[in-house]
Amino acid sequence: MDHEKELLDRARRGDTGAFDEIITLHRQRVYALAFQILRNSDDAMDVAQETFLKAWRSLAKFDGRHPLGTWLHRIATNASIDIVRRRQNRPQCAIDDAELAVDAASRTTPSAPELPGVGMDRRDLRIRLDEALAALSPEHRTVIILREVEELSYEEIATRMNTSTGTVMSRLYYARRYLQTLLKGTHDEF
Amino acid sequence: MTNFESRFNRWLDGSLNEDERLAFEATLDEETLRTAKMWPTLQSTLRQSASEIPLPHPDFLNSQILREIRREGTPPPRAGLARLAWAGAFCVLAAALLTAIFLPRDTRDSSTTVVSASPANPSVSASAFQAAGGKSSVIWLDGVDHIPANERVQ
Repeated sequence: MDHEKELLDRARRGDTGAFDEIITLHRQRVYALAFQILRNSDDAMDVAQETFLKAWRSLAKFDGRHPLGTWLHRIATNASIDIVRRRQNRPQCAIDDAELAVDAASRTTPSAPELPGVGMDRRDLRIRLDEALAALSPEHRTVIILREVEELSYEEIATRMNTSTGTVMSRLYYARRYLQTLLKGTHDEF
Repeated sequence: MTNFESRFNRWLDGSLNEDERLAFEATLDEETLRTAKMWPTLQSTLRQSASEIPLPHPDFLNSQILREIRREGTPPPRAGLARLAWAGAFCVLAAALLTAIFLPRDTRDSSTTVVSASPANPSVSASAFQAAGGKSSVIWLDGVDHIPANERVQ
């Protein structure tokens, strides 16, 4: 962390070599976050590039109260959400709550094909999880990533997505129920 | 958002108290309860897969960003610069205030006039005052090493 602070100080003085090191330290997680939300490598690369350029231009605004990574993730999340919004303005095949095969009134785990009886290992689970994330709408996916991976509070998610906490919780409910279908029939296999 | 959705989220987050949890679980079927126990596995898998998404052409990303930074040719605004500007503005304001409060008032007779004086030597500053009617003048010189004998006031 001290090394990062030193890099930050040097970058603030205009040292692009130090900023290059900062990019190297954080590029993987920034790209992964954008990719998880956008499910598109080119868009995620654009977000990563935009994130670091914005960070460079705003280094003076970074007060250091939070880790640099957190600040970069916030920029990356906002840039990803902007792309999601722009996509909404284009004709597309979005999946909304009603299409998630989750009955809002249901108190049972939504139905899903049972997994083969031999069991599902972590690798299988990751593949199915990946497919399920891809099937979610960008809004549902964003909420689940920000909650489960970035561990943000409902209020923080609502602020970033410029929506209400109620909408966030509703989207999260549908997304979680949908992902739970993955676990159906796998209880004793881990 | 329905009450059920809210409770379901809070239940999965583990933020219901014991009474709320038991009451809520009583409304759920066995499959949902068993599935929920596996939720931490799904969470950890989700986090792990996030950390393992490969970044294609990582060095290309660095080079693109640095190229853009050089193209823009603008160094990042320095952190201290804004603070320095504010501090400077504050100092100017404080100096103006102190000057207004503490600078000795001009106690000269109101009939005294200030006459402009422009010394030929730039290292010398001069102030000249003249009393009404031209009966007397005061010339104040700063930075003069000596006064030539022929100019000396007797």
